[in-house]
Amino acid sequence: MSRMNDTTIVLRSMRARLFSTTTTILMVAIAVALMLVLLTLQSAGRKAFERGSGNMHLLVSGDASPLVAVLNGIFYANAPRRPITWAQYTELAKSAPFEYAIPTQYGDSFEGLPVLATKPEFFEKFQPNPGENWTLTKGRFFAAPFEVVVGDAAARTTGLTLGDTIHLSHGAPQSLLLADPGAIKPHVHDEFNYTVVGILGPTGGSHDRALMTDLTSSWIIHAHDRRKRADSKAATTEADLLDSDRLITGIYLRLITREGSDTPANLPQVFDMLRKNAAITVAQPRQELEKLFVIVGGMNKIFVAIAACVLVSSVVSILLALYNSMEQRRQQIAILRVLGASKGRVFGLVTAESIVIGILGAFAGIAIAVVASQFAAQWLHAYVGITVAAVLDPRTAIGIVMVTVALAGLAGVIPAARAYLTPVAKNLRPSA
Amino acid sequence: MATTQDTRDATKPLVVKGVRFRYRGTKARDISGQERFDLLAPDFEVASRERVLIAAKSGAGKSTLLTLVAGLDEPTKGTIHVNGTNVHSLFGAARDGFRATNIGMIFQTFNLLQGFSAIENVLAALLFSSVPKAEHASRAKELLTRLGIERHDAKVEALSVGQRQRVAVARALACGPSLVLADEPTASLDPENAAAAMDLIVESCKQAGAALVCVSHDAGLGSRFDRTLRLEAPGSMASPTQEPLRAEVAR
Repeated sequence: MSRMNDTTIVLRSMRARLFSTTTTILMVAIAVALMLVLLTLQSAGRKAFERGSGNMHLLVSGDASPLVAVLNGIFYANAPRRPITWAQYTELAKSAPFEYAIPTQYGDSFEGLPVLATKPEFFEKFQPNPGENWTLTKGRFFAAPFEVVVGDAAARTTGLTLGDTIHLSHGAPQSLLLADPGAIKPHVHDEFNYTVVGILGPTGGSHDRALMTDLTSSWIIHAHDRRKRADSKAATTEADLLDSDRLITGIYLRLITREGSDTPANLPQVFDMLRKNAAITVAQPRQELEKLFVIVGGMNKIFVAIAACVLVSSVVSILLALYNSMEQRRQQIAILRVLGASKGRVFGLVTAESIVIGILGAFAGIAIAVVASQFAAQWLHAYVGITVAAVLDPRTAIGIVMVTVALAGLAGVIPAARAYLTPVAKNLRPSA
Repeated sequence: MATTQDTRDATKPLVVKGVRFRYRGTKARDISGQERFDLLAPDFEVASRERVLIAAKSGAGKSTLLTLVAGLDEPTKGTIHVNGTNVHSLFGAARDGFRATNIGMIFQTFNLLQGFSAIENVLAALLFSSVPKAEHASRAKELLTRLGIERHDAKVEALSVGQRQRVAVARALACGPSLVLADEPTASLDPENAAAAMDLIVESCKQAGAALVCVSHDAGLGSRFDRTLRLEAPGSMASPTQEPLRAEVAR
């Protein structure tokens, strides 16, 4: 059944200039998608960083600065250079009322993924997200040396499953972006078999792409390297460990807190006390991450500003497309005026057309952004090593749709004014 | 100032009095200092259902007179009443709404909305009128059928010249106007088709009960009309006083 209303006129007008309309919608869609992907990844990236520190209050390491300590100790950026001895650890663990003081050692890798050696209390007390304990999708946590549990993303990347036997490599992995093709290949500890006993559930943080094993096994394989230099046929067990073998690279600390509070009152005092020890570096991960975001925040703003410029440019393309079409549509406008359409109604029709293009572009942009965010997240995970949950924030998406539609409405004003001022009689003549 | 509603002329579809028109930006006075106009319209009235031909040569201002009657341009002087309402005392949307409801227009090149179907073109005329929305579709279909258009949903570009002419007539009559203005409706047709088209317009207006004012350079069409007025270009006037053009009753 034929219908005739303002919507019919707007849609028919858009269809009459199908190529121009489609390309304009596409330009708006790309601009909206760019803006959404940037904002989504910015937000998801920040959350991914914030999640890594879990419920710890302090991080201790031998690194040169607190920020480097956080990047190495939580985000596996590099293997910390300066180790902490077991004696230093035991002394520190007794120095304050800690809820936990979990030793960690990061210096090995598997197929380019970091391996964190730690104690079972890492899974019992450290929460990867505040208020959320570790979960397993398969198997159990490690309970003995040479058992390994695999992070969610690491399991998907490597395809490891329960019962698999693996060999660790000495040294932290290099991301593919930073990899030097001429670099010496890492030493593989193939004398010791590690057995996969568990696959972790996803946490959305940096630990998802790591493997976790028992600290003692890590000490044994490095002690074995020492012993082989003296005796190539030497076998190494826990009994052969020296104090100099018992090294760690980090300590996750959490102070006892009152129920219902995550911020202990004595945190500043304990922080200051630990800082007096020149042999270690103490970091408050959340503060360090805040500093990091302040540093990179300016860059983010530049990216968002560029995306905003692209969005405005795309809206200008609506203006140009409609403005240029006015020349061809003078007769149509004149006919509508003769039939009784007021100047205001003609103005409204052109503005509505601009808004419809803006709406279609914005929604197409959201669809593109959903797909592009997933690709970007996969790329970031594969090449930069950051695990981000690239889920569009509905409020952000709605906000950008509203801004786009408002800008499209504004862009329609100039062509609409041209339509408003179209001389009717002149454009009804045969030569018009 | 003329009142919006003139009860004396309320029954007459059209009353034109002392209408003068000068294009914007043109000189107001000629070399001799006399006030100059581009159109000097005769005073005339059109009765209900009356058919009037305004015959004139090119440049006399035939089309301009119709755009003034339709309220699409402002006369420099004079008044035009349609159904007793001074068209130019209405402004903006009120005038547009008045035109949509009271006046139908037919053009030489039909001026149909390209990309729209035959029925959509007729519905477009109803869209801006005061005709109840529930009647739009049935009225449009009935008109097109009565005028011999079978393919209501065919795009106007796909119709023959004669069919387009019929769609244009249907559109002009859609809102049930008391006055139809036809601007050189046969100028682009060969004599045979022109005669058929003119018959169609005259007959359709007669059936619809609308008065018809048709402007044409072809005075030979006069046999179909109740009266013929001759309009001459201001420059051809013998009298320097620029008296209104002669209104000649042909029959």
